[in-house]
Amino acid sequence: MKEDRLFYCIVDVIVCLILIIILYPLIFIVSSSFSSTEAVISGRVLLFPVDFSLEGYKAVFKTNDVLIGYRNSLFYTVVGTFINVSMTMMAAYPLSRKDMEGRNLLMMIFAFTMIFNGGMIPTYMLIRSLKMLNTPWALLIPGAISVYNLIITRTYIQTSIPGELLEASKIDGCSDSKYLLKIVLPLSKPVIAVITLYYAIGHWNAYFNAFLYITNEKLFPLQLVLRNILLANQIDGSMVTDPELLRVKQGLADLLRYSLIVVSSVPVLIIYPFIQKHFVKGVMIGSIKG
Amino acid sequence: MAFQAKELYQYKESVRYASVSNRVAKVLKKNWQLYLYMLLPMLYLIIFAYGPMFGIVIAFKDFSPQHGIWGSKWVGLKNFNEFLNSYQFIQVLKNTLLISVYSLFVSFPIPIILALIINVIRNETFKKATQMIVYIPHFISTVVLVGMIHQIFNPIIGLYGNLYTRITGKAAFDIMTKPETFLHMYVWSGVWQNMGWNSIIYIAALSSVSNELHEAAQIDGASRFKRILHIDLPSILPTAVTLLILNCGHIMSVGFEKVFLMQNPLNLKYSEVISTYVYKIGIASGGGDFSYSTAIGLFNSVINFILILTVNAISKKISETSLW
Amino acid sequence: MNRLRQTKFIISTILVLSIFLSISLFGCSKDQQTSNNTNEYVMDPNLNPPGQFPVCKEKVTFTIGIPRMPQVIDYKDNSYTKALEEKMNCDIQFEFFPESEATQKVELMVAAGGDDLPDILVGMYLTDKAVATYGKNGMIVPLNDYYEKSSYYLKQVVEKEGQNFLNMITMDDGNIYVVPTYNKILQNELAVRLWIYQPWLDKLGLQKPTNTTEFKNVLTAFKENDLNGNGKQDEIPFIGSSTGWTASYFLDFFMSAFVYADRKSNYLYLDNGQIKAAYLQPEWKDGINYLHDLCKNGLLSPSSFTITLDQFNQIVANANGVIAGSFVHTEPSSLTVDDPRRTEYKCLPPLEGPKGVKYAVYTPSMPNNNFVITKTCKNPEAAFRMGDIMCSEEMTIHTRFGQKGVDWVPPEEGDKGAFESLGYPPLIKPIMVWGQPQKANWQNQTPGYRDYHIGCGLVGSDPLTIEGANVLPDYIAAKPKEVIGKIIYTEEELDTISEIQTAITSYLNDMTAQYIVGTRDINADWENFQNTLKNMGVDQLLKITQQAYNRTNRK
Repeated sequence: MKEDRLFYCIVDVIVCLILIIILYPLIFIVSSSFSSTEAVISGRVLLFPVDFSLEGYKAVFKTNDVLIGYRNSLFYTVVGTFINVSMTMMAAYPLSRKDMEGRNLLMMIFAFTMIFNGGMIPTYMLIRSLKMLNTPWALLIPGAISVYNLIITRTYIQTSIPGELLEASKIDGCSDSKYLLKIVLPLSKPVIAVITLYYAIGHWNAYFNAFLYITNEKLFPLQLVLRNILLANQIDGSMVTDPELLRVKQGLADLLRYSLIVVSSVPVLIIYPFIQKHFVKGVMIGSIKG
Repeated sequence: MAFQAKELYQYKESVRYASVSNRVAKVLKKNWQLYLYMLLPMLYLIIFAYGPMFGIVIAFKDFSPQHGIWGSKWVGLKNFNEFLNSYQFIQVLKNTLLISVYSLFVSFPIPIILALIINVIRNETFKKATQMIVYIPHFISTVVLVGMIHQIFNPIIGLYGNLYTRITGKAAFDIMTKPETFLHMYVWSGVWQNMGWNSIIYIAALSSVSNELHEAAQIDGASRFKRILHIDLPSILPTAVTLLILNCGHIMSVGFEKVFLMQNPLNLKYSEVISTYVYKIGIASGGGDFSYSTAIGLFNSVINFILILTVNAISKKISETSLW
Repeated sequence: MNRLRQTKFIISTILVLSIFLSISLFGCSKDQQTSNNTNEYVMDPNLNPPGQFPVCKEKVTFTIGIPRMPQVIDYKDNSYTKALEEKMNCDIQFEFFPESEATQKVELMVAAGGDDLPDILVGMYLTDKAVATYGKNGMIVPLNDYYEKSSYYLKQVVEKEGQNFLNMITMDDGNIYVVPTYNKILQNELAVRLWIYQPWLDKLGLQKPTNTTEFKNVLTAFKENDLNGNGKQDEIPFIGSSTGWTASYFLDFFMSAFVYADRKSNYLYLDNGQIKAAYLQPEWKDGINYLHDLCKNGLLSPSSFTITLDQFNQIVANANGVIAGSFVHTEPSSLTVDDPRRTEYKCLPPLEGPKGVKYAVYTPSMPNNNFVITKTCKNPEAAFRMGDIMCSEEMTIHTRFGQKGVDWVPPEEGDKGAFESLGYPPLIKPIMVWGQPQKANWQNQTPGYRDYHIGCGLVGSDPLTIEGANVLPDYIAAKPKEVIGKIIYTEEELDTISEIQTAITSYLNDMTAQYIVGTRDINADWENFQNTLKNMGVDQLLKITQQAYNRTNRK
């Protein structure tokens, strides 16, 4: 159709514009990470690397903390996400069943915690009483269910999996568990992919829980290490006690800033193609026909 | 006579009791597996979410670590009054709401539109590549993002300055000196950073739309654009509405870090929000006042709660979708 | 009916469970006893008398909580740690806090009862209020007796510095809770300096400006001539920054040619023992008018109020030629070592105002709250001895320059120091490069006592340092006769004034920027400006500050 061709053209143009707007700063970051610190500080880097140098990357990998942080974050992300997704599915599936008594009430109970919470101190005291301080559990269990993700999952299951399937399976004598395992889970691949991504990124970027509960440097996640280096003098310079130290911190931050960003973003970028596979069209066709 | 009435009453009670427990038993029997699945999540919720929640009483006390939570003196609404009567309360509240509502208005539809547009791309590789590129900005930390904003919009050495001078030959005007620009910078940089990320859920939902529907519409002669309006959009509407309700529940929570980094002496009037104000009051005087900050947090939560209830109720009336 | 019952049932179950949970968690809070010093002081029998090393007869273990500095490769396998452990006969374990949020973490631990605090907190730089609060709550231990009867190096410091020193570290309840870092660094006391690009002055045949009028003329000449020779009028006669130590203090520098202005004391100053506010004086108006005039004529860039330190540095170190004519900074350290501009930017003495007022912005070196001993420490007196050792000259040098003979050496024949002309011969020749990964110390996070001769006693030939040192006598001569220095407040005083001060500071920042940039006119606005300040409570602020100042300095 002629109007379609015009439409597709417009869309392509818009997408290209969006890509430029998004890409420019990103390219800037990557270029800066491959430029000499001097060039970056004096503002010579505009688009492409200036004075190509790997000093930033070398410094990153020489810093022991960064490597340990990297390893820890990988661990927390993999194990943590697994726990997250299992728990979320365990709660989302029953809540999506319209025939489950009290589901609205339970949903409200969950949602309430999204808005009200006791605050840092009581939570800290709880973790302390449970003897979870300075253990990996403090980073894996609190936050195991994000109500936000729970709601997304439940909504997806409700709207994308038709009720007829449930009735059909009941007639065939299928139990709830079987229904979950054989039908709901496979059909929920897109949303499982999404919440896996959300949780994984959440773990990868997390630093607040570590800040609260961990003082053993061997357990620090990557973001904590990163912030330590980059936030040297961004917040409140009025408490300056040692200006020489301040200058030194600034120097280190300048050197590492862009290469750190790149290095810490790489795993996240690698994940996405794997998740993307599941955003595939036409997943529903087979089930309806069958 | 009295004896009979009592017996009758007891009989009725036992029948009612029996039917309740019968009913509960019947329900449990029918869906026992469902309830079993809920068990572990509920346990988690009770321990980790509701357990600490009683610590909220700190907001009503004059908390001192010496006496712990229960031992500290009860002061009722004193902390709230202090906050509501403080010199900058009105301005700070106004700024917070302005930023939140503006953000919501702008950043809510954009990911949806983006998802719809990306969905239209015919070339599979191009489509996948676009999806991936568009979500990367989300990972840039706030510190770097604000640094980049300053860098790009610098009228002397930044991209903006360079382009402006090149085009008009004159020295560029410093955007950042205009206090009103704070709002727009804050919101649109947020859009830039998060639109790709936020579109992911919509892209996922769109992928579950069956091709049959599209084929049928094509046969009927609908253009691609019409197909978007009538097939794609309705299919993600429930998700969109749900997310809208959820976002309304965060109106009072304008984050601290980004605002703080973007403040400068000229835009303070518009950039002081509740979180930065609390930070300055609390940390500025050292030996932080937990009661005060908990009270403000509670105040925010209550407003968020009222909002979310309202929007949810409205949504129930208008559409089929609601949180509960 | 049934649904309602069911609902009630579920809700009550959850409520009961939660209440049970929280009572078991929070219910057991013992009333923390503030340590009672009613018993006479007796020296810890495990310790040798002060001055005799090693300190402990039997080995003791300490946990030290410290912000983790990324430059330190290993805190345990570290020459500073080893030196300490040897002198003390102790074993040190570390607990690390993230640097930017260390004080919040300590806050949290205190709020949760304080039982998981490490023995000693180092490098946190707690505010006075925090120290006073923790002291009152019994979270940290008072050290008065130890200072008097159990110290060796600190005793010498007290003798040398006198009562003034003790005044600055004693809280309003009469207790000393900290072993401070007291670094007296001349260059930092007078760090707000004006720099100008000498080659442009030479090109124009102008002398270095000494007063505000000459300065304005110089700036005008900078603007109107294409001094960097690129055909564009892109020279910025004066640029400031909105963030960053001293680069953003340009207001203070220029205002001090009208009335003494120092943001570190919140623009309060002393006039014959009377505390006054600079912004309440008519001279403040004159100063603002001067700056507004500069801005209006394109001599002071309005971007000075919006750009961050990063961009300020980039402008100064601009790769495509010189654009910054003058700026306020300690020294333009963003210029790289091989940049010729390092020798071309020169430092100017403070400017004299139209009424003959001339002050250098002076921040006296003050001790800060570095080292505290918490209630969980089983050997507080031994812990104090550790702080005492840290304040010896040897350890003070070690914590910043590393081990003698390895990381620094005494100066050799012909080595020069930048401050010789001021009477400070060079003492230390650094070998270890400051800021590189090291195992030599804790990156200067510990207490110490550094007198002027150490800070000014480095061997070095950096042109910027030498230039700064040469002009320093002019700044020293322009110091105000009396400065406020440190004030110790009581908790009630702090509660009253902190909100007033926050509001005033905010308002001042807002208005000052607007007056200078020109969106508001200070002349038309003056009465309104003063009234708003009064409504915010400035009179009460002054009264309380005066009260606290008198009390701190009367002891």
